[in-house]
Amino acid sequence: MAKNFIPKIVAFCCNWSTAPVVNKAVESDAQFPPNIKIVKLMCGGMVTLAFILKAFELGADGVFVATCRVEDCHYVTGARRAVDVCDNTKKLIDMLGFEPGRFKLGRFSSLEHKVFEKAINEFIGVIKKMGPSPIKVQRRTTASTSR
Amino acid sequence: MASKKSKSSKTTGSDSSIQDFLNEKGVTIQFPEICDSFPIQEITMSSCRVACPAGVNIKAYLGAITRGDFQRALEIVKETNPLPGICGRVCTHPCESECRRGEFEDPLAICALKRFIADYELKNGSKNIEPCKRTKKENVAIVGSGPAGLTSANDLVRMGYGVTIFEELPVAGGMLITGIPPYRLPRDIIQAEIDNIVKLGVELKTNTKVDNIDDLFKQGYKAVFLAIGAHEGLKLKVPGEDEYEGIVDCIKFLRKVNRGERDKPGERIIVIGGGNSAIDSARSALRLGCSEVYIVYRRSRKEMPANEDEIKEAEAEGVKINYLAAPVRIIGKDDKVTGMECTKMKLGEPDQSGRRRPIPIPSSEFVVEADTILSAISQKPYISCFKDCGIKITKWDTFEVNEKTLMTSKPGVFAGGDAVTGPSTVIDAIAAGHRAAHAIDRYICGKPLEKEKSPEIVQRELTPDTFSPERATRLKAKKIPIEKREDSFAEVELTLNEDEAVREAKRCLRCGPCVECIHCIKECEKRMFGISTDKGKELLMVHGLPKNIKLTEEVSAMLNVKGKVAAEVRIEPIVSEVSEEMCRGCGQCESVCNYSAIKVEEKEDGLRIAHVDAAICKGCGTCASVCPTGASHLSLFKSKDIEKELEGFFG
Ligand SMILES: Cc1cc2nc3c(=O)[nH]c(=O)nc-3n(C[C@H](O)[C@H](O)[C@H](O)COP(=O)(O)OP(=O)(O)OC[C@H]3O[C@@H](n4cnc5c(N)ncnc54)[C@H](O)[C@@H]3O)c2cc1C
Ligand code: SF4
Ligand code: SF4
Repeated sequence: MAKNFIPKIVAFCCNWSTAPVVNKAVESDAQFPPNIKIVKLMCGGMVTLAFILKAFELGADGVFVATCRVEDCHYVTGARRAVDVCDNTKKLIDMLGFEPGRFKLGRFSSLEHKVFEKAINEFIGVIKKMGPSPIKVQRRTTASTSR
Repeated sequence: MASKKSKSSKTTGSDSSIQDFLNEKGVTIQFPEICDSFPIQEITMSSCRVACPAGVNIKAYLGAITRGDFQRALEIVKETNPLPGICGRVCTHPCESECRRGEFEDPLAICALKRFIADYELKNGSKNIEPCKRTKKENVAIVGSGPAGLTSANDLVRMGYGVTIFEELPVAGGMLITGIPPYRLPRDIIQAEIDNIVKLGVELKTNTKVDNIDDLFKQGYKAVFLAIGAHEGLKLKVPGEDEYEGIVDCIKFLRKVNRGERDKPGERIIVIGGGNSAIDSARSALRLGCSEVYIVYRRSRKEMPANEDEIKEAEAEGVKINYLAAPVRIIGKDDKVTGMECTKMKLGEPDQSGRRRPIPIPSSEFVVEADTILSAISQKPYISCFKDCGIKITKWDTFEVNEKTLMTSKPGVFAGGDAVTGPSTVIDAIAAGHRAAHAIDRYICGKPLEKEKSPEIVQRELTPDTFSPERATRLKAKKIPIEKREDSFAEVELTLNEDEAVREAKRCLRCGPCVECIHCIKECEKRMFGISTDKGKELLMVHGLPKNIKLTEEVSAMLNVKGKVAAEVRIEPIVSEVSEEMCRGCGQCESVCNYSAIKVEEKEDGLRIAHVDAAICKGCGTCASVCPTGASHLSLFKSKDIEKELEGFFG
């Protein structure tokens, strides 16, 4: 395992609570890990199995989903849906023989940028231990995630 | 700034160029075929909070009230307003004018709710307040203990500075205690809130007039905040003013009354002016037993700057108001005032303040008899003692300051509140106190003064069960009956009880970083859009968007900065779309939509297709995420966009 392996992480964030949290974390900390791709969604509930698998397919070493606290969801049920989607995704990844630890869901209120930072750093630590993703990246961008 | 921009664009995937435009002042958007431009705004706060000069997080504390968590509500208020009991009584509540529910029925009684939680603390005993930890060696001197001075003291002591307030009078509180009468603002409330600030470790020196700023610096203070208010009444400038006895400045009159003196100024009183000080003088005079009280105001009721409620109460108590009348001459006999000649006025073009300018109507003079005239036209600061300190002073005898930093022309000396703006409001003074505290902190730390503290991110305090989609009438606080008000300076308005407060707070629609289509208000129009350039997309709010701009299709528009075209942008509504050819009519989306915005409908040919009602849809995309065929998608943050973003990262 390469010692200086920098994992590629994709983080899906909801537009209301967590995107601002992430921005704040990035802005307030110069040491914020650089190799994280933040993808804004209108609602955590919008994250799908397809997006998550797509990210892995494209070469992500880990995928993080950040949503509001369940009771804080701007769209009332969106964060709850995200939980369901993530549970299912975990099961599926496990079935596919892929480490489920490469995927994580975190819930934050809009002021918890420090908590977010900690969570993402922990996640990176876990991925670092696991090493690069076993998925061989195939450059075939035509494949769509149609559901 | 540049480095920050590149960093955030790297991580969020969207370019922040629009945001940068917005950060400059005066960014508007202009649509083709419509000449007007519309201000645009980043969606970070609810409209009530935007309207509050001090930026109180109203939505969050109303949410806490609905849950019965009054302590938390108080904490939220105190983050931005150290004087909630005072504001809950006398604030001009600009937030209520902007309340979204106001577009539908009566706005939330935000002010009364603030009062409720402040009183809740008083009633149930406040938590022990510990002095703040002193973390900085520097001391700051604050001159004046009105709301501006108190707020900055509160902020600075929390930041860890040593803070001393110098107050000329024997009591602290400024106009709150010398101007506003106790029947509107009881003295124990003022005292309790000042005590809470003093307990944080602020040193309060009453009976101490400051007239030499250099002395303060010599005593070791690193910065000075001048919050001396505006207490010197302006002259009426009409003949007879200096000839007769019986013409009293309202600030002096109220000061006496508020000190506890109960002598009648006379029998028949004329009060000149239309602000809070005029109404307060008139209502106080009635309470002292004056038999007749007239107010003479040169504009109409609509232009009157006093709080609407106060005007109503004054009339109910028996004050007679002569609108559109102005003094011409004071009449007297044997050195004593006997009356005043007035002229009728009409309203002309709007002046600088936006109010219509009153113009005298020729030969319309009439005489009002009176033995005492209370002048309440306006005030300016007692500034003469600061004239030799090297501080620039405007032609209105106020301090000249940098609008953003509140620093005067003398480094380290800041000024704010009525002393800068002329007579204004408590909440404006509080806002100035915050601004000064932040600028003073930056000044002492040697940071550039200009950067405003950006508003912190909206707190989400609410839970789904706080929705109240039905119509619900605004609760009115009870008042003591008129008969009981004579000769009494007891408080007129009463506090809501717990049940009432919870009920009222539940009316809040928890607007905020959301689409404006608050699902319970069908009539309400959405004003939030995705605005995109070639570089990226942002969600922004456009205020006052005209009806003929369709909410369902993309439009191009020009982004103007300070009136000049800066960029072409595309405006997209964020709503769900359903591609008919892919929809199988399964109804999954229908079952997840919280707002009943999407419905499966049967078309003529028998096909079942989901249909989105764009007026209700909030654009959350929950439906898109459950759609098994991919027929349902979002017109902003589309699946394709997200894929592209991912590919861009790895490619
Ligand atoms: C009758 C009346 C009714 C009002 N009603 C309302 C209302 O309902 N709602 C509302 O929002 N606003 C109201 N206002 C306005 C509001 O009270 C003021 O805008 C606000 O108090 C201004 O705060 P400030 O801190 O700038 O100054 P002030 O409150 O005026 O405080 C200034 C303090 O500085 C002290 N001081 C002055 N010079 C010196 C010196 N050289 N050395 C030491 N100390 C000095 C003064 O003694 C005073 O205590 C009312 C005003 C009046 C007069
Ligand atoms: S409904 Fe609530 S959040 Fe919306 S403007 Fe009114 S008080 Fe503020
Ligand atoms: S995006 Fe979909 S789920 Fe959300 S409100 Fe619109 S139709 Fe309903």
